[in-house]
Amino acid sequence: MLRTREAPPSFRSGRDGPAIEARGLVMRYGDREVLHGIDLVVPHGMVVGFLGPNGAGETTTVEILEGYRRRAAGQASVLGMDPAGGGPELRERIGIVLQETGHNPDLTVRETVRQFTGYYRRPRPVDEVIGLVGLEEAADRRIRALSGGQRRRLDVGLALVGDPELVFLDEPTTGFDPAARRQAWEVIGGLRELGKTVLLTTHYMDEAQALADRVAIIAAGRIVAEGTPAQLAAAQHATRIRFSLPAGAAPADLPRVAGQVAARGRNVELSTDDPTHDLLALCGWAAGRGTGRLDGLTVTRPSLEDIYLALTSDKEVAA
Amino acid sequence: MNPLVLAARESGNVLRSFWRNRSAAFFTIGLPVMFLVLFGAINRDGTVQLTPGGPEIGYTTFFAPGMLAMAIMAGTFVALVIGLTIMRDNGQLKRLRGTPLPPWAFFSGQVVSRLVLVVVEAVLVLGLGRLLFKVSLPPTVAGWATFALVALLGAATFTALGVAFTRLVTNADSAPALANAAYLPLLFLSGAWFPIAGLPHWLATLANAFPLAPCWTGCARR
Repeated sequence: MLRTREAPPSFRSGRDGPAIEARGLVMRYGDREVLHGIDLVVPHGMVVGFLGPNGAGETTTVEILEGYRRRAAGQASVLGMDPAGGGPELRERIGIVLQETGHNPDLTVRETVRQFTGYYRRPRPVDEVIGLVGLEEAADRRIRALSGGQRRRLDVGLALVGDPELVFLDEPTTGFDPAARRQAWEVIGGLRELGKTVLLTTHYMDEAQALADRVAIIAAGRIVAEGTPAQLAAAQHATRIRFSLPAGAAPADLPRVAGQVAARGRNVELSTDDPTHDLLALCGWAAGRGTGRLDGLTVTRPSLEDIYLALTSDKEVAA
Repeated sequence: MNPLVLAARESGNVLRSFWRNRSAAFFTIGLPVMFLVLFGAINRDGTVQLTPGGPEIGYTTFFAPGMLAMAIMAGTFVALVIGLTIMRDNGQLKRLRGTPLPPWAFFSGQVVSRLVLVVVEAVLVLGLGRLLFKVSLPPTVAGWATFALVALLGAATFTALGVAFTRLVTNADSAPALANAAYLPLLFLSGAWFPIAGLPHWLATLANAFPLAPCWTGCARR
């Protein structure tokens, strides 16, 4: 199984530890265990993408860290506090953007933001919050009249009212059109510039790739991979080499290679951990035959999406 | 943060959105006033005996406190059941739970704002009743004190019941139907609409088991 994380440091519950540290989180709903020991570390100032298929346990994990649910076992520390008992003290310092949360449709954007500034000891000024999420134009409009994208930006704005150190974003762009997604990404990118730590839950690989410094993938209640997007791609062994067999050659004529060969008609696909040597062998073999060419030769690295699908598809059945 | 400031601010938030939502404002404030004016005009010179053989009182003097009791239950119980289930279902409550706002401050805001509306309603109903129909008002300070106490106690009771009742309402779509299923029968059984002296004993016992009848009786007491 893919493990790119460095050896886990010992559990630190003190203030100098990472923004989020979870060790061996277990959650049960009745008799059903849905989290089987989650380890997750979110260092200060980083955007960490948290990915998994529906029902994999990502929402449950995040809700434990946000203080909405109590874990059955394991340790968790959020900004040096136990989220199960953090109370208002912890909520002063975190911001939460939930999935599909309603607003009071009869209030304006400005009134709603002002209302939330009343909940924090050191709130950001109302106009600053509205500016951060680009809602200046809509500030005095009632929420009833806002578009879906504007409401989502208001969601993010409300999570920033208390000037939090740590922001939880739960599927911030689900259901958005491409333009609205780009805008939302800009807002989230802005959080990084503000020095915020972000735990970003998403189903979209491209979103994680665009925004996250590190990625953790959960499947069936377990973390199955963690690392930077580049580390994940590097750890996934299979580089794919594709080409067409030269005229007169059969798959059995191919030279010995390190990877796995699959032929369909004249098309050959080779998955290999050692693309350099395999390519050398193939090209040398082809050079000694007929035209000396491998038609349609391509070499591809797996995308983050391929890795995600490979890691999560077999797990869903097991769950 | 100062608890009183938090609770006062939260009440202000509830009141602001209350006035913005015209249909809710009408249901709470407008409907009882409209009934008072309509039925008062129809029965302008009518009289009512609260008990068989008892003294006759002016119809509107009977009807005005009934409308106030109705407004109290609609503005607290019904409004809370509908409002809180919507906030629960669309995630507003969850969002608030994620802020440092303590739950008690949220509920204080709900309660205090409803009490403010009850006071507004009482002034409207009694004022209009007095102006249009010469409704007789409590003659003494003690009478006023009793009246105020009963009205506020009624509002507080229905606020608590409304919050409790939301646990029985599984989704916001069914909230208006369920709230009205509790509210309308009580309204008619309580004596707020017509004297209930003729009610069968078991029905009268049932009516008196719920707070609306005592609330009305208290409001109508002289």
